[in-house]
Amino acid sequence: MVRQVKSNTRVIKQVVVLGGGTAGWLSACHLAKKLLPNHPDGIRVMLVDSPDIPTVGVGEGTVPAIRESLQYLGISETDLLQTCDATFKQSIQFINWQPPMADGKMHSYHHVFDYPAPGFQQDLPYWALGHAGDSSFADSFSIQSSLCDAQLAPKLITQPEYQGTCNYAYHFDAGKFGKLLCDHGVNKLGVEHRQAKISLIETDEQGNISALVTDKNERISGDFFVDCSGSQSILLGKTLQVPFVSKKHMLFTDTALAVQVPYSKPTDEIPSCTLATAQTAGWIWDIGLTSRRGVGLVYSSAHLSDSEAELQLAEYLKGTNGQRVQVEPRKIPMRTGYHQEFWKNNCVAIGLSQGFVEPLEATGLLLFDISARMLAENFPSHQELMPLAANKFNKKVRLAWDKVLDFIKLHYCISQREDSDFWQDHRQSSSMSEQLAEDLARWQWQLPNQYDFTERAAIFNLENYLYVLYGMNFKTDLSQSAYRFEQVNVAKTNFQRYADMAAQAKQQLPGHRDLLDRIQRFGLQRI
Amino acid sequence: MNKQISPLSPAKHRDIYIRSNDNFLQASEDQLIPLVVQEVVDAATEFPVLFVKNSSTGEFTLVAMLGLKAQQNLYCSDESEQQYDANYAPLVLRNYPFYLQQSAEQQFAVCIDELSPLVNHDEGQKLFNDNDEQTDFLKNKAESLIKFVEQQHITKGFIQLLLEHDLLHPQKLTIRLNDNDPLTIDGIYMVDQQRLENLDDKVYATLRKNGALQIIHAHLMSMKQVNRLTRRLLKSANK
Repeated sequence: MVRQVKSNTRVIKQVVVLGGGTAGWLSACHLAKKLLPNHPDGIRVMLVDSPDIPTVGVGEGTVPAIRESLQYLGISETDLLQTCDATFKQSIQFINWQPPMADGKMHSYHHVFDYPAPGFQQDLPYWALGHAGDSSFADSFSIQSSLCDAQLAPKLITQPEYQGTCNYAYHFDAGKFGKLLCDHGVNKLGVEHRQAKISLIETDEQGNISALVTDKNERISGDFFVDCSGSQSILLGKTLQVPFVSKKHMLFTDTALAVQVPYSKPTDEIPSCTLATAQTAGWIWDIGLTSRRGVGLVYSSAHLSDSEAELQLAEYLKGTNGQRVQVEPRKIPMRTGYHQEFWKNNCVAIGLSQGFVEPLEATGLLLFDISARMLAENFPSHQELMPLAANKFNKKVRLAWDKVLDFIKLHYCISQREDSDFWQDHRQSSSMSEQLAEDLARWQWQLPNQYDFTERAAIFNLENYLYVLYGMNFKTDLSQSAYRFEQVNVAKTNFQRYADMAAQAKQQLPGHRDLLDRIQRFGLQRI
Repeated sequence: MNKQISPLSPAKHRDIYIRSNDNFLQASEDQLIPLVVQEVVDAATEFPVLFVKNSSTGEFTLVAMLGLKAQQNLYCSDESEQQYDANYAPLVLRNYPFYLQQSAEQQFAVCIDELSPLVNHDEGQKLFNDNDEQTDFLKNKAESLIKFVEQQHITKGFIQLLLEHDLLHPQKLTIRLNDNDPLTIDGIYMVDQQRLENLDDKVYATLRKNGALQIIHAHLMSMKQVNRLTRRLLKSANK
């Protein structure tokens, strides 16, 4: 039987977003884009933040889905690139995630953003059987890792905004990005911005949040609240008491040390990928913006002391020709896991208030963006629909979190590094989800395929897994089924084609910094 | 073609002569010639007039198309000894070998391409007289160069106006030559007629009053001149 929802129940007219970081402004923009506060029948969207509370402002990496979102919100790519110190990101380069190779060279691979061309799966077994010779998985199925190594841009200045020769995302200054979203939200989309210090949260007898009360005793009331208060999780965690589910047994890192590093000269090339270099008990991110580098060590305090961590970070900076600006790196505690529910009663958490996972695959902003858009596109028209919408939202977002956690875990648990307990502990099956352990067992004898990725909410698909698995030299033994693959020459021609295309693209694409400089001066065209 | 562009000075350029430019060979490998809006109506009587992106800045430029593929110019060819024969010669072609360049102090200086074949020692017009004063020939050239800079400025404003109202759109040109594979020309932009017709009345009136509408119509009609280029190509191939 279909459950009847009466249409004369209370409608939602006022949404209040608490918190003015990236998650807050992204949520406010997504909601306003859909709910049209400027329309006479529209739903009001107000963002409340306190001028005293600093934002975390570390998350500087994104994934390509951000492009579609920014374009959808009506933000110009030129504005983003000109005002947020933004640079292009075409891949994450993982360095030292395996022990050094036989010739003593550091192990390195790219998780690039270009997906292989449709039909690539026909050639995959041939690659696994060794018919591409020494060519890496990424080089056999895409052109992008060689473009990253050459420090080239993913596009030409003549290509319109948000279009490129290759798939790409950005690195940017999170504080400046928040400001861009704020200006756009307020001036173009009709978000109301209120600055106030909140001293009390008012709830009603059903457990709904009814108002935020400021330190001047003013009530900011609303029908619906979005908690973007960061890791404090003021509404969902503190007020509505939703428990936190720790995932520290899967991912051990719990602390970050972050520094900002100037370029030695303004013409220094900027990598068009994030560098992620593994350490004994974690890894170091190295992100090039136009104005400076952002570098930080993510580590497990159970496996590494703070003073050892500082030393590792200093060693890395010395080795990469960087001098840090701050004397002391900023220490950021991290709590891996998520809340049991993300939407409870009339409150949804978006951002660090939902949960946290280390920024290895730049999933922070991605999860904010996905949940904000999902909320906006499924926004309940009546109070009575809220539990149904919440149910669906919680299922989808929890699945997204679990998939992200599995994918991050993959990077650690297939490593052969033996140099510390940290790496060995990551290979314990008790630290993996059952699903991941099963998949890895099968993939030793069978190539991953689309049947392994049927969940539509999965953020990381077959292609992403292949880049990481085979970038990490994961072995899939196909010797039993080798007789089925007789089209060796066809596959070899296709592998060669990628090499030819890469050579051609290298001729055409400009240097990364060169393109960024020209965009600073001339902008990009919309068409 | 190699160039060496230097500011004019009596000391250096007292003795040189400038031959008249009969076939604009300096552009023999330029498919596209930049235009200013003031010459669009005239240029449209001979060439397709359209928009392309500058390859190093991405900015839109107004150009006349004189060839059907990169580096082809069907008018300024050195294959024929003939004089340039077209209804109109764009200003950029006629200004050659003179340029106006802005110095660090924001001063404009008239410059010359010293390697131009038009520069010689016995034929044509002199630049300075015996008292080191500018000749009338040079004065006229300088004047038209200064005017040209102003016209370029207005042209930029015109393109900005089209972009503001979202009137440009990318267009692929497909040309059939005899039985050969069709030739495709990418990377060109035109005014979208549908969007032009749907413009708000007020905006439309502004375009009419400031003369933009006339330029837009000339540009749109000029696209038919692609046929003229095709005929020209076939004629030169049959020779």
